[in-house]
Amino acid sequence: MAMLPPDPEYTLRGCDGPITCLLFFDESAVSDPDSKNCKKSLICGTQPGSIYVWNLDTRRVQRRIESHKSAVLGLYDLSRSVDSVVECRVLSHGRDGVLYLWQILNSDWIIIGTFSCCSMNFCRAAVATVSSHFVVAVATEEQSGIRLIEIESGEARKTLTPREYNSMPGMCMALTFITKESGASLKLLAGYEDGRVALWDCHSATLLSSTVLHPEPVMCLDYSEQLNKGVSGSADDNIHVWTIDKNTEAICPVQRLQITNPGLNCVLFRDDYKFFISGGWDNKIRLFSTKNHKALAVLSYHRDSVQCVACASDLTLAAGSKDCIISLWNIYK
Amino acid sequence: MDDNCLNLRRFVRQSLNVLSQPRNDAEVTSTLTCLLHLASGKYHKQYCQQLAHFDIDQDNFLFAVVEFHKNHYVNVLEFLVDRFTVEWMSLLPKRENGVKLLNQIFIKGPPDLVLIVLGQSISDPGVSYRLNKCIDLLEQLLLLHIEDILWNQCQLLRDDPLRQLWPDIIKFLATIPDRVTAKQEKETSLFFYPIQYVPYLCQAIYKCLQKVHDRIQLDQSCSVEFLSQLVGKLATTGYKEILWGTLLPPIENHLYSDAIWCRVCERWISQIPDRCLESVIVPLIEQASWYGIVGKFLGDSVLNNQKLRFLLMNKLLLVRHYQQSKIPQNILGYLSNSPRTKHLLIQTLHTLIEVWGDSSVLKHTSYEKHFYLSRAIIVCLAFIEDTDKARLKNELLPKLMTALQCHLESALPKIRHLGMVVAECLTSTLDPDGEELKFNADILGFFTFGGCSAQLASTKVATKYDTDEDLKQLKQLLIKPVNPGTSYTERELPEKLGTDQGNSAPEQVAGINTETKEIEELDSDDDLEPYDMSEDVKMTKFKTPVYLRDCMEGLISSDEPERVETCIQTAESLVYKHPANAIEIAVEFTKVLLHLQDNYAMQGFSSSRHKAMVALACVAPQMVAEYLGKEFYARNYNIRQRIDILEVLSAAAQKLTNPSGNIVSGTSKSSEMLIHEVTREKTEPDSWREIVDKRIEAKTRRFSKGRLAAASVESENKFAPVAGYFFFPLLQVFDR
Repeated sequence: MAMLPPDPEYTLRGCDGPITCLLFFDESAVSDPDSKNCKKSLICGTQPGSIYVWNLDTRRVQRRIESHKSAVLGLYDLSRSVDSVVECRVLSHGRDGVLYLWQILNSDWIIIGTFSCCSMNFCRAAVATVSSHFVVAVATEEQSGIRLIEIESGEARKTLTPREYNSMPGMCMALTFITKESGASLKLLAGYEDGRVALWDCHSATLLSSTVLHPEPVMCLDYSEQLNKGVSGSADDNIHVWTIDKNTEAICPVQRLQITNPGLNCVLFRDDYKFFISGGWDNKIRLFSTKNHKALAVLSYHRDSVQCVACASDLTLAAGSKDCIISLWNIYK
Repeated sequence: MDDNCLNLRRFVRQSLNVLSQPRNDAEVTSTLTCLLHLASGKYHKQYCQQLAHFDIDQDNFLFAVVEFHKNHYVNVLEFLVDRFTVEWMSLLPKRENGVKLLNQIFIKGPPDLVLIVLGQSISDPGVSYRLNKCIDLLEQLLLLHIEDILWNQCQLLRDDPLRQLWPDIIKFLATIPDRVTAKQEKETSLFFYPIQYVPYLCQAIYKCLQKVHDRIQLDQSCSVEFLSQLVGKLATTGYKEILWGTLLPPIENHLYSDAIWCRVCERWISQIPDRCLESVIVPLIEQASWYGIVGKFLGDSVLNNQKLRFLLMNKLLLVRHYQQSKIPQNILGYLSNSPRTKHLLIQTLHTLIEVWGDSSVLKHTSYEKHFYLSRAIIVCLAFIEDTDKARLKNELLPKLMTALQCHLESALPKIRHLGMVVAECLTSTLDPDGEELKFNADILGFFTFGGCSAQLASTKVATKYDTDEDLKQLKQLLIKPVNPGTSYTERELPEKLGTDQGNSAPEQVAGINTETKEIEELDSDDDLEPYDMSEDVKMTKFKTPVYLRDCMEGLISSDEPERVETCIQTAESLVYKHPANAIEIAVEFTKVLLHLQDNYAMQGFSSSRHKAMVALACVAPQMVAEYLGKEFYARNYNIRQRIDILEVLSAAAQKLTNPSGNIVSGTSKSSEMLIHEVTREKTEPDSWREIVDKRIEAKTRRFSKGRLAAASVESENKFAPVAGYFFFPLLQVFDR
């Protein structure tokens, strides 16, 4: 008989609203990778627009920043070292149509940049590094459009709008960059409202291919370059696993996984690519093997929809839910 | 009567005398040998010396053989069968193989006579050595000579006296499996099992037909009447499926190409006695692969055989109904096949439409039957030729209109829709140039149209698919079935071609598959072991109630179907879990359950409700039984509720008296037992006395030991004290 799935290792309570996004942040790793004096923290954004910094050693709220006027959709680590001086930076994407760039100095959060973006949709931004410049992709006000913003210069570089279709694919629902680190070519995967997943080339702003995978809007997607596998979730009870053909750049479905209850909020490959994680409307966190796509575990703790998951460098999982609780999981380490 | 006959008679008389008291080995041997030669009709001077004493020599031997077969052989066989006992057999000469000679007399003689003698002898009552011996001989005879038996009969002329034996021969051939198994029961030889014997017999029939065919080719006459009768008997005995299953495939092959075969088969089928006709024809029509085959078998017999005509045109089409569309296709195709029977097809179409459109028929037959009629009509249309259509149009369309009206008036949507589809097909085939009758009833739209309430819609969705299939099937029937015979040879060709072409691709695919499989197997070690998935259940909007009152509340405020569903499903276990609370609200809860209606068509609603009520009646028998008994006679209950009351009372009474005694406390008891077990296991290693006792017990030998099995658990009959509450309220008003 198989083991029962574990309980959460720890739960973090006390946020002022439903958790909308999570980010594991390790200041020490940026400044001094060898230092024992680690300052690991978990940053979370909430529905009312606050950002909380949780100290993972003490498991207490270290800081609370009230910044956005509406839900924080995404948090991104934009730390960099300039002339061997490390800058700890975090980008936050709010539903109020603003992207704030924060610098963390002695655990103080200072806004060093503000970018405006569309406020009407729920699409989380995606971040890529192109030769030590950061590029952020956000959905635009106009339908189906995606804007690429260069953080350092602050200018909007390009807009990706599908023109080939007679009918627009609807709102952009989910974004993820393919070449996250290398600068050679930058490609972007976007999920649309009509269930389509499209692959864009960011330099030429051309659409490489697109495939309608879901009958419902794509709610979330993630892609792993190492495995050449992508997963996407939708409002129905299917998860699609697909791959990108190296030659034709076409998105080819690999397998359709049926889950018990419909609706997914997030999918994410864990950093070691052994499995991917999904958080659903049914309050459950599911793990699927990347090798044979078999369901590995169903983690149930939350009492409301799981909205976001994150993975730490030590392979700890964090999940944030609508029930205002963050759960930390220690599984398959 | 000439001397030869007298001589032979004397010889037979003497032989029987010798054999009745076998003393002298040599004498017995020579007698048996002579009889064998007479039976087999082969003359050997060396062995037939004894015959010479009776002036039977080579010249008149043939005459003697004929005479022997005609007048004496049966008597001799019967005499020998009567002698079959262990004692008599032991008196036969051993050295000269007396028993073997004896068997040969049976095997080498005319097999039909032997069959009758042996068949009769095994019908005698009792199980004995004789019976077993006879069955042995019968098996040998049938294995060796069954074809000869059949073929001999086919050669008999019309007025041959041996034809008088036919009823017996047919009787025995067709019923031997039954007769033998009735006697020998489980010791029956495999050969006599119908599954073995009937195909064997059918093979013989087929070979016999082949001989008939060969003989007719040589311009010689013979008759298949015996085979007709035999097949008729076999079919009525209940072997019709095996019969046609074995015979049809080889015969069908011949029918496509050979005219003599067709003639033989037609003759063969047309001579089947009327009383067996139905059992032979119906499976033939069921199994024939194409209507042309049926035509080859039946010829024009439908014109002169009234019984066959009734069977085909009335019984099979109008009275019975079948799942397969093959039957109407085969019948109607057969009728359309020949110009002489074509008028019957049109006549059938008329009657079919009349019956189909009769409103009282429509009311009193099942949908399946009606659907069968519709299929028959459509099949009819497929076979009607263009030249007849114009004439038929004027006659049929008025009939169709009244018929269609009946259908459209029907309350059942599927009948209405069936009517529309059939009418559309009829008009479009009969009058292709005329205005098209088109009901703008898209199947799906039609079925959702009437769905006002949720429940109606759901039942319709369920039925939609099968009728949808049905109607699709109907339209396919408009195409004539093709002759499989022409494609018979072609069918083999592509297969051969296919093997050459398709070789490369599948292999490649297979190669890839095996490769990936290998990879999977190779690194299957570091697979992550999946966790238990039992928590992965369908999420319901409402939590399952934990307290009885919550549960009851949920049932009373039944606005949300999901809540009611979870409540009703957990009610039983909750009652058993909290018996004390249940007693408090038992009557109230029972009342709620009794009045609860299945408004949302839930699955398992009535069974969960029943279980919950029984649980309540078990937990609080006195109160609930009294209440239910009183309510049984109260006003304003419907029959269903009253039946529910009785069912609950009887089920509860049964549970309370339950002999195994572990039901009333349901889940709680089992958990108690679990605890018991756990504690016992824990204490075992601790107490040294137990261990010592165990060792002593293991090393002790007892000479008398009582039964070790645990005594059955006694349990209190909980029904006895409350029986009155179950009966008296019900009996109170019973006689008033």
